[in-house]
Amino acid sequence: MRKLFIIIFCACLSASAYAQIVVQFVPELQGRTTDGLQLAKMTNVFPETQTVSLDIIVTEKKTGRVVQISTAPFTLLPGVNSIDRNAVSASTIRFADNNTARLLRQSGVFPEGEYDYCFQVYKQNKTSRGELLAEQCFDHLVEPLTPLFLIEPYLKDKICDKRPSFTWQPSLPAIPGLQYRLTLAEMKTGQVASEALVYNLPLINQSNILSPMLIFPPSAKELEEGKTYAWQVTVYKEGMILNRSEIWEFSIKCNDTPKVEPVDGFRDIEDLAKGNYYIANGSVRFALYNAYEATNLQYSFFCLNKPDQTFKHLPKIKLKRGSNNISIDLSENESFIDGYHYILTVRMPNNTLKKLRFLYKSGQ
Amino acid sequence: MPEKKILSLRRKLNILLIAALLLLFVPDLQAQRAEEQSLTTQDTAAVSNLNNNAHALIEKSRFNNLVDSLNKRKLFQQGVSIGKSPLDTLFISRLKASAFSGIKDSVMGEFLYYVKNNFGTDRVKKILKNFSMAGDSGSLQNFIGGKLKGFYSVNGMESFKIPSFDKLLNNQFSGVEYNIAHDNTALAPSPWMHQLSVSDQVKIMDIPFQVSFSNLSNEYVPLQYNNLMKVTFDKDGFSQGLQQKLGKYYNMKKYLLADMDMLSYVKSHFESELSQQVKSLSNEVITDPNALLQSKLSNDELLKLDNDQIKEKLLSSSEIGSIRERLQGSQQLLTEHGATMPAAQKDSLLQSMKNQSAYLASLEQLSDKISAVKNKMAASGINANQVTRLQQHFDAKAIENLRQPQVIKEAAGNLLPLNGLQRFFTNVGSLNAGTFGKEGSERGINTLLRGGMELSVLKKANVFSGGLGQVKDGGFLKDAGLQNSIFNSASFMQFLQFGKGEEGKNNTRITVINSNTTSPNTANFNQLALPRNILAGTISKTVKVRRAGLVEAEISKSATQYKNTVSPNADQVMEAKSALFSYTDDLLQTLSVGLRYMDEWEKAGLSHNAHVSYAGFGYTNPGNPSAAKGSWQYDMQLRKQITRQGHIQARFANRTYNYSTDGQSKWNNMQFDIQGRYRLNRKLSMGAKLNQYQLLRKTDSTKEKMYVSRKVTADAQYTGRVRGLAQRTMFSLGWQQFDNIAVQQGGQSNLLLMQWSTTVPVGTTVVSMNMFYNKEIADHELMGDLLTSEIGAGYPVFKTIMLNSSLTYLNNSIAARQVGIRQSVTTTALKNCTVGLFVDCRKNLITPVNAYLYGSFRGELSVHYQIK
Repeated sequence: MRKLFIIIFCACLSASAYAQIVVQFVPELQGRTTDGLQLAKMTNVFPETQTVSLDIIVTEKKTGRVVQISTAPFTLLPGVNSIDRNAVSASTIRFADNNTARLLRQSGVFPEGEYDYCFQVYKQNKTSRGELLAEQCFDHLVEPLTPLFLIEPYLKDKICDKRPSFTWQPSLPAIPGLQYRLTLAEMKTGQVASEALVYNLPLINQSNILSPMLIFPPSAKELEEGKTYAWQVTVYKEGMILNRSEIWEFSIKCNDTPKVEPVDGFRDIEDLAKGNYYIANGSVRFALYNAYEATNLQYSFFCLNKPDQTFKHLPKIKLKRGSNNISIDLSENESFIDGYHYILTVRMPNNTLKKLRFLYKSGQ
Repeated sequence: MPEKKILSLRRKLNILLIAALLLLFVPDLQAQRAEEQSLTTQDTAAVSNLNNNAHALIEKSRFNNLVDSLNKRKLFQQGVSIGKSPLDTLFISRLKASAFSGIKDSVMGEFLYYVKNNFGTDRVKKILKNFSMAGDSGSLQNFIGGKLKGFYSVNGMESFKIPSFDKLLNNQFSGVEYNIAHDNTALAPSPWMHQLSVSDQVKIMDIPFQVSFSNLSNEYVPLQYNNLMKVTFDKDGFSQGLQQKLGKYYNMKKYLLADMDMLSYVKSHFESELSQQVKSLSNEVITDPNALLQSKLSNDELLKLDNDQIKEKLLSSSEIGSIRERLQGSQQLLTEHGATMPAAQKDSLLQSMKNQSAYLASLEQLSDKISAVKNKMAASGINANQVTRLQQHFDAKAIENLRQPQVIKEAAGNLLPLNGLQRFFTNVGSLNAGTFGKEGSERGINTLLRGGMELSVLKKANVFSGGLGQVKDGGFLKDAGLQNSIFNSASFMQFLQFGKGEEGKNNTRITVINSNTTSPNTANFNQLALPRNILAGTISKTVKVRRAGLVEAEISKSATQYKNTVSPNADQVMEAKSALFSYTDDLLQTLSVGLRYMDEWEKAGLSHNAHVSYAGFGYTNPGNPSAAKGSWQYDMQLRKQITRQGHIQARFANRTYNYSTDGQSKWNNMQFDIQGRYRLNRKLSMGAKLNQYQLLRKTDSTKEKMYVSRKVTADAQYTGRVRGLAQRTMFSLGWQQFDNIAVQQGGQSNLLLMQWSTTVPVGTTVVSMNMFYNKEIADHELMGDLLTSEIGAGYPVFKTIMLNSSLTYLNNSIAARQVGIRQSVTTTALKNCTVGLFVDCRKNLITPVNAYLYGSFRGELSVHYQIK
């Protein structure tokens, strides 16, 4: 396909080879927008500098004339020249009176159609236009590009994978030689996504991607938990940006990150039972001494905010002989509600009862 | 001519349509204020169930308490006398006419001294004069009342001379960071990248601004092209500064009049009322009813017990029974033996009976009186339990209020001698200058502005914002190697926005965006644009529904006018160069509308976000290059929380893009995504995800599938002990297929995916193993079978150095095979300096096919010096 394109392109050029000024124009890229038309290049084969003006006339097969752009006079040096930007700024534009022209005028983008782009280069005399130095026309069936949608990781998603793969919708219609670039950067405090991509060093700035998917680059540093990242995909060809996706952001957050338990989390139940204020963050933790044989701890709960609350699926706690550090995990039990007060009654090995009042905090 | 008439008629119709659309929004704008007021009233009504009388009593008690406290306080031992100046006379006369007329003269002197010292004689004089001239006695009363509350809550003598600001200019250097990265991957856009970033905080008259500077460069882009700087007003920091200052000079709880013990006030009110009523019951039998009452019931009991309970306490049924029995016995004795009884004994018996009857009657009367007083208070809505609840509510509200930005702003304006600039910044929502991003709605500003400025001010629920800046599509380090663009024209943009209401509440915004295209020409990026003016006007309306729901409606219209446009039928250049003159042209093709409804049902654990929108092909929003055009789309998101352990989420989007003049050719894009996660227990959680995405090319008669992507994954995370070793493992298995039909060969891929990661802490060392494997099962191997694996350990050295060393292996069946090492070092030096080094070195075992994906070296060095 790429070879075919080169052959067609060369054919376009060779068709006009008789002229002293040759227009280089790639309609499938530059013929998509009114601004793109100005990116055509001109080769001045004359040995001397030429002052010229340029008419670009675009015609659609069914609709007829769409637009005519006439640049101000500008100088062509021998060799390859771009259209002078001042000449572009002073161009006059004549839109036709039809639907295609109206859409083009408002959007700057050519809607679908079979277009004929004619470049007419006139010699510019001091006060008026002179002879036609060159005329070259290019045909192309324009089909506007699809918007570039990102697929995964989804916008504002929280993922656990620190080396995620990225997927997006391919840019269509397919243009030979079209490539993607994926940029990813960390979002720092106080930054919005668009700032993150330009202010920070990109962690990934992978170019030359051919498929709408990128597996996390093997040599790149993995993403860090708790951080937020912004990413964007750009479609380009030969150094020209054709389309960009929105900028999406995602965070690395694992749901099951183990909670760090406090080191000094076990206080003697005798001390706690004296009525000291106790907050249970997801679990009740206390120490008790068992002078008897190993057994199961007998305990029950009572909810002060909801006295009729029943407690099911309480974990079995083994009590060994000697000192025991007990941790009763309540975080999975739905009977415990954040902010409610509870009384834990523990039947001690010597058959005495200890009551421990606590405020439950889910800790989530 | 007839054609011209038709055109003119069409234009008029367009104008009428726009006017009608605007009118739809205008009544809402007017209704806004009423809605907000109604919301405030509802909030206040929810304060308690007390009726108005009780509230009035509480309010009165709060002000009485203030006046009493002030009268008892003497801050200046020598006293401050009231002067004879016109200001003093005017101020005092106004104060005496207010609800605080009970304040003693000596206190008034101190108050006047406080006001003049902190807020300046001239300013106070001007305010009083303005209010008096305008005849606005209400505002004058508010002004005096506010200042009096401030005077009441002063912390000490230093509150009598509060400075406007601590320092005129204060610079706090936050930190500097230098990063350098090298990547030897073939065709990498920037093999060497450097970054220098500096962050700083500048305070001008205690108004904080965050300054961020970043210079990004590579070997192709000279340093001077990538200097980016952003200056941002730190709104939160300013608010915190004001809060600290208020806390330093004032007791804010007192300022909010939340320091009063309302229950005590109610108690004393009840006691005095009861004492007066009971005193009238004094008789021969009960000479001191108050003493009797005190002996039987405490004041708390009198206040808290109901009438029956009080009666029982005053005269228990057993006591009544015994008295009645005694009376009955005496009566019987009198009947049976009265005739034979000696006269003295009979008189004594009669007297005793009379006394007992009178005692009973008096206690009954006493009980009735207490009931009457309690009933009277209850009729006024006062009872102890309600007052206690109200007190708790006020206390909680006061603490909450002290953190509210609006309360801080109001208190700062009232209590601190802010100068004009500081007062202005209390109303500033945001201020940015330099290169900064804006994230607004789809039809608002949603882009990066360079060399620009933006200011947003919110005053009395009115919002005004405006800004300007350059919009340029490329030229940054991330765009290295990309020299020009046809995606979005560069432009110089200005915008104005005004409206009512705060974000997240009922609000209306009207935005006007104006832009003129430019043709930037720098060493690494240049763009050419035909000069044109683009104008977009947007009206956004947000309505709060239910408790947490929001309905957002937005309508936007754009217009583009090229400079030097020549009429199709004439040769002369048209005079109109602004899009404003052609704003009503091509209405439907330049219109964009959207409607979104977001809501949350907390009890059901359900939230959703539904959206529908339309945009014409010609719609151009210079403030948002990604704004949809030529589209008709609807999408929805649903999330359901399943108990505390899990959730399920579904997303669906259908977007149709018309790209032809006759509307017959379309791209149709459909996405469906469902995912769920459930935590089985503390150790194990599982998740699954299904994602399908497809793109169709549609005409009226044909439908062609262009791209399909599907992915199904299931994963499990396990944190717990395995054979006595604590570890954390993540495992996922999936299948991914994509079919890029437009690409004849190599557009298909069918992958089985597997990922496994385990982390095991062993003492101070953390051992980790990761593996990613995908197996290509399509006929044509696009991605190839890929295995990447890593085994390594993280361990501390010399307490301050953290090392992470690992071995890596990569094998792609069609492209590359590499083995390597990865090493990272993090250390803290010189207390505030963090140095990080990362190196990934690989040896190619075969020559990579796609060398641009398989580099053999990447190194990063980061030095971060942080001050705070």
